[in-house]
Amino acid sequence: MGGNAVEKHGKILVADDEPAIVELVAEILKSAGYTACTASNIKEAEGILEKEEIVLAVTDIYMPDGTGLDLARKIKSVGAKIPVIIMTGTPKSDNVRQSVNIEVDAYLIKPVGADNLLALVKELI
Amino acid sequence: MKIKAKLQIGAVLSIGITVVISIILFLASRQVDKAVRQSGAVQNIVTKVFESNLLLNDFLLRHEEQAESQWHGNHEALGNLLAALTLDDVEERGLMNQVRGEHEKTAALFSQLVEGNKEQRRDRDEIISFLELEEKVADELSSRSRAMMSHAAALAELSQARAVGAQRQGSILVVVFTAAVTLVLAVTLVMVAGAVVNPITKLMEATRIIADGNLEHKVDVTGDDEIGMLASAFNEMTHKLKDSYTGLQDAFNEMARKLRKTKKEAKNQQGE
Repeated sequence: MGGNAVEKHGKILVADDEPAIVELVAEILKSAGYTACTASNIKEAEGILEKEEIVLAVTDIYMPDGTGLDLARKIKSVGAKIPVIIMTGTPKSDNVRQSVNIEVDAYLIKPVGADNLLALVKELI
Repeated sequence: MKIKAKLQIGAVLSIGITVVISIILFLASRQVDKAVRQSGAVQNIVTKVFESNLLLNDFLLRHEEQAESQWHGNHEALGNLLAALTLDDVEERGLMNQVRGEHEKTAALFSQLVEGNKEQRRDRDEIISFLELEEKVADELSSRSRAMMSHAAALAELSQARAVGAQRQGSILVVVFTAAVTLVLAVTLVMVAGAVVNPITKLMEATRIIADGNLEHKVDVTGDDEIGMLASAFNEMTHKLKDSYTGLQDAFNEMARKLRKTKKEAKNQQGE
């Protein structure tokens, strides 16, 4: 079995409190053959990370029960090899600085373009 | 056209119309004043003619010097009033000339009557002849006097109708020009509101859409006025903001890419 084939069909966590964004990102990923596991808050996202074999996480910054940066920090702190893509509509210097410190793998500014997202996903998995 | 220019045109137009209205109203009020003044003068003439008629009757009854001198005084005053009055209307002028004509004729007839009374008569035939002549002259004088009264009354009626007409015309002018100014102001306001309010509503909507993160959105406002220029600047700003965001995103991802590469190389070196 080729590595690429396994990765391409891996599960990707999509966390955003805006249902329209979650749906859009999930559709883009599904169209490329990935499985999207969606969460509308940090707690749900953590639950998915525990249960599923997630190969990549795409998360919004601001959510009702915390920030996507906290989630990324948690993923990176446990030594997991899961790449993290941060999505935001309004980039702020503090968020960018934190993303650099956490060593987030990619930073996407909404509206997210399908080509851009899939290129990064392909590069990171 | 710029909004400032539209407002300036509206203001200049309103001022222009107001000036024209003021001039027209001033002229109309002068015309009304003149008509009212003439009507008053004609009323005075009617009164004098009436008095003249009364004094003539008094003289015919008593043949007194007092009545004679009062008649002459009244006749002179009436003559002055008739000389001072100028009329524009052809019909009024016609009546006026008739009053003047009767006025001149009554003077000659009255003098004839007075002179006849002063003459001494010896026999009965002379007296009878004089009385017959006096009656004839008095009849003609009375007839002329009544004609003068009738013409003067007709003139007064015409003059009053003209004064009322001028006043009505003035009122109509006020209504028409007030409506014209209101219309110009309303059109200016609607034009400015259309040029300002609708595009600003679109700009507000665009601001909300862009604030929601859609940097692809363009404000659909055209035109070479201030709002059109603002919309153009707004679109340019959004475009630059998008470029800036894309630049930030690309720079971040490039940096992350390099970091991953460095880490991978370090790991490979450790492995060796």
